[in-house]
Amino acid sequence: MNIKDFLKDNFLIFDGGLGTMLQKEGIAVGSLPEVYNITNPEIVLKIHKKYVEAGADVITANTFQASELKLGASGYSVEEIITAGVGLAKSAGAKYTALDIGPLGQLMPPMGTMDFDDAYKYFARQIKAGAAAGADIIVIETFSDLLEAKAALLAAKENCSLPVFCTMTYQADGRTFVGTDPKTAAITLSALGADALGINCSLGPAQLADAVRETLNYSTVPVMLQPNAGLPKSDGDLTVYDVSAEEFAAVMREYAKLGVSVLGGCCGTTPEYISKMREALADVKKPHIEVKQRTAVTSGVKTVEIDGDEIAVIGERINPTGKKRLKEALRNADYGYITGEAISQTQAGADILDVNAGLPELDEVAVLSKVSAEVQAVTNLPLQIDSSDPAAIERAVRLYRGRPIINSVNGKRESMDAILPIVKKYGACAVCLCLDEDGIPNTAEGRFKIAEKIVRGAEKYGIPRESLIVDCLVLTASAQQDVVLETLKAIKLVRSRLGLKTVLGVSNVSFGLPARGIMNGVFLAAALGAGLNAPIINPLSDDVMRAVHAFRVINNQDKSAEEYINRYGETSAPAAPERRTEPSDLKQIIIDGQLGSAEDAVAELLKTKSAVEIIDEYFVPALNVVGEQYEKGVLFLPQLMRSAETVKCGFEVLKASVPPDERASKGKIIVATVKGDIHDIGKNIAKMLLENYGFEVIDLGKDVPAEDVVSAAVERDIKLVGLSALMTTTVRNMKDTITALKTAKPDCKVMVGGAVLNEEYVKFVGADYYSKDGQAGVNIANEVFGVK
Amino acid sequence: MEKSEIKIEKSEVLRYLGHRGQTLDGQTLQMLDECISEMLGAIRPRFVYRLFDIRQSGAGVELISSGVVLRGESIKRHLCGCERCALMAATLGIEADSLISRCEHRSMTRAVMLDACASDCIEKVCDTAEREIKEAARREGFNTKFRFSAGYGDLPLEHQGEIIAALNASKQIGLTVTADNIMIPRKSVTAVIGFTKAAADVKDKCSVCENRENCEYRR
Repeated sequence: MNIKDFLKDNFLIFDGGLGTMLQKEGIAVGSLPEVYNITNPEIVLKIHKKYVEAGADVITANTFQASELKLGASGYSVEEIITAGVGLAKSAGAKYTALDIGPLGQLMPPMGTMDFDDAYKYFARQIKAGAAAGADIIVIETFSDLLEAKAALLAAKENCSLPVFCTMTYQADGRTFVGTDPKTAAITLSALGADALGINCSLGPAQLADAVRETLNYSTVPVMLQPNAGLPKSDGDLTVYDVSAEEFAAVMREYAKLGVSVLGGCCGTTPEYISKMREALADVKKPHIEVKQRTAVTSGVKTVEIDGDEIAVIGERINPTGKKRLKEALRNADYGYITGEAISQTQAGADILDVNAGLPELDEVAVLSKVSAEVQAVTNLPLQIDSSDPAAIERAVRLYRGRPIINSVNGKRESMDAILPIVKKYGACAVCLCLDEDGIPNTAEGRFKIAEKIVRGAEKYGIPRESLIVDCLVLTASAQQDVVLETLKAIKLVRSRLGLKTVLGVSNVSFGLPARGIMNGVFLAAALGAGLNAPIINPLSDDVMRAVHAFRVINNQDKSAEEYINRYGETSAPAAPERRTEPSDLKQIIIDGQLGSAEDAVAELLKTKSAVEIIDEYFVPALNVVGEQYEKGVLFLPQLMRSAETVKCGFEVLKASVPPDERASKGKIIVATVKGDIHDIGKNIAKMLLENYGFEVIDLGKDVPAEDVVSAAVERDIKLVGLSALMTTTVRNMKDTITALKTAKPDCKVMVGGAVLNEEYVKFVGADYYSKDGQAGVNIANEVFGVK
Repeated sequence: MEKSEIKIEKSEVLRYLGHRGQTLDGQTLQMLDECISEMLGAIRPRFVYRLFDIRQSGAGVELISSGVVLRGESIKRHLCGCERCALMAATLGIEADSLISRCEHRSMTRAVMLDACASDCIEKVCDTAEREIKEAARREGFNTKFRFSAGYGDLPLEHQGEIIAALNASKQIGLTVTADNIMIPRKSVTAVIGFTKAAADVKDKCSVCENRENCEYRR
């Protein structure tokens, strides 16, 4: 019987620990158990058979670590190990055989260096081998990172037609090692099309109670559970577990009654545990589980549910339309500015962030994914991937760690044909714009009809309607005042007749009018009253956020008005006296490192001085004083840095008001942390100091391949490159980078820095200069560019 | 382990930051206090260890029944006279990395301070693990040597992967290693502690370090 059919009426019983059993057979600690498939097949087979006798429906092949990364030096190929492993499991005589896939043992960015596409490739190779060997199920288990699980899940879906089960591992605090909670995992993996999902390893069954409940509550597919036999304890040189087979079985029985339908064991469990569990389940009737679809989006570590009772703010600021500074940042790959926008919106109380990188001159497929990744690195909020290019949407959504919103699909045939398959495949939510080939209908009824059309279109793809969020669109009051209220009527229609949630870009209403904040705030309040669930707004604007905070009290979301009182309770108190800074004090402000004071002073000075004058007459002399004191040991690092940071804040004011060509760069410098290395604090300090002295710094980031450094240096005709490496193991990548650079662009000078470097290493890698700290980097740059 | 067991030492954080008696202004001290409590709030400290019998072999020291041979003269010298050892791994969890790297966008000064707090913090987690290991050694009638890590002397960093595998540390505490032998989470330590019948160690770690002559952190 097909496994999915079997699951409809039956519990599906998996086997228990394999490593545990192999250790009893004397396998060396730390060796690769998978090699036993070839060197000691009789032992592996014997264990499988014991589990079949114990009553397991599914035997999990001994392939947990059978990736090319882990098998590396074993002398066996992925295909050899997997073919043998699946073969042994099949010959044990169970109903079903599962190909077992564990994590690769390396983390993906922003935490680590493993590339998504590489991870996908490793998993795909395992999955193809497993399917070819005759596995019936793919089990992806013991994962911590949703993005890695997603790579494995997509590799399974795209390379075989077998059902895919996926389980995550939670610690005692209810989160995985990288911070994912069970609710977020259940929503994300359900949406991605896992055929069953759940929890395995790390804890005993009783300690997983909360995680099990959350998973049952939010999963839309059967829930799977494979706990350990309690917590591991060292007994001499051995590891033992503290839950007996009887206790294990008793707890699992309770979970089965709650609705867990795929049950087995992990570390420490033996055939005895499985047989006791089978017995305990004998008289339990499999409960019917009501599946509830939700309008919920996730990041890797957080869920935001748009559930009708609560409103969610979608931050609109990462969108270059009409924003000069953001356009400049996108063109220069200045991700620091963009992530700054993400951080400030997060702090201002956004719940979801919209990310748009659409500039005609950029390769949007590459840039949107990059911006999305950079933003995910600095915020826990879920993202709304915003583009008119389906290819850019698909790539960004594929690489996204969670369940995103796609912005947007509309009623045009062409849009539905292009976007809905992506929504389906990646299980995203989607913003549905009420416009089609004939434009935006003037009437509420017309817009409602388009929403209906998109819902029907989506249902043809099997997309649950709860994944759709309708944008009824608002026209500008200055041009089409007579139809503004139609938007509110349409929201009501969509909410009541389609039962869908709504989203709305609010600020369009005020276009062309003065005091836009007033208009936006009042219109937003009206829209929320009509049933708007997720306004797309600028969370840094007090006018609109006041409406949001007040409405959250009115709709009983902000309980006891706690947040409202916290925020506005003090407004009657006298405002803090305005800081009066004499611009002439700017030098002293910098020398003292008075964070937060330089901005006003620079703004004041800009009235009478040029950017270049401010840099040369204030920034540089003050920094020189501080730099000198640092070198003499009068100041120590945090004090030097605070001065540098004070200048940096002042610089932002310059950048915001002076166009790039009037800032008169003293020279362009590339900085990067070399391939394989992820330590970038030192590089970032150097960057800040160099920028403060008026150099233009192109930051390529960390873990940067040699070819990227070379191509950037050649393309932009760079005279000085700064490379950083912190580990002895990555110093050789520094040498490779410099060798490639010197070949392609002999006139380019290279300075290097990093904790392990010394003059000797500097010779070894072939650098021109050794920068022992950021201050030294400035001196080198001054020398290279002939700055006095 | 419980977070409440950990105290970050201000004087140690200042040492990591290169403090050599400079006047500490109010802003610096306040930021330091904030960073210490922020770091303690973020971390999810964990450790794992395991005991092995060992023997000296030609190339280094073999951890019996683990398949691990720690290579080089430094480890041979360090574990000379030891019959057993504890292999340990400790981490602050990925949250420490994330706190530091996110802070880099807000304030580099604060990020550098948080980094120093984390450096002291992982030492304290290791100290906790070491206390437990010493207790285990004492029960077996041994004294212990100081913690010796890959990268000390000529003990190669390439051992990180094997050590993590021998401790099953990826599954147990979420510790991973990149292709270039960098451990992630970054604030993590692996180490060997020798068990000896001889007197306990008094020598400090710096004495075996190749870089001792030009190290700014030397005690």
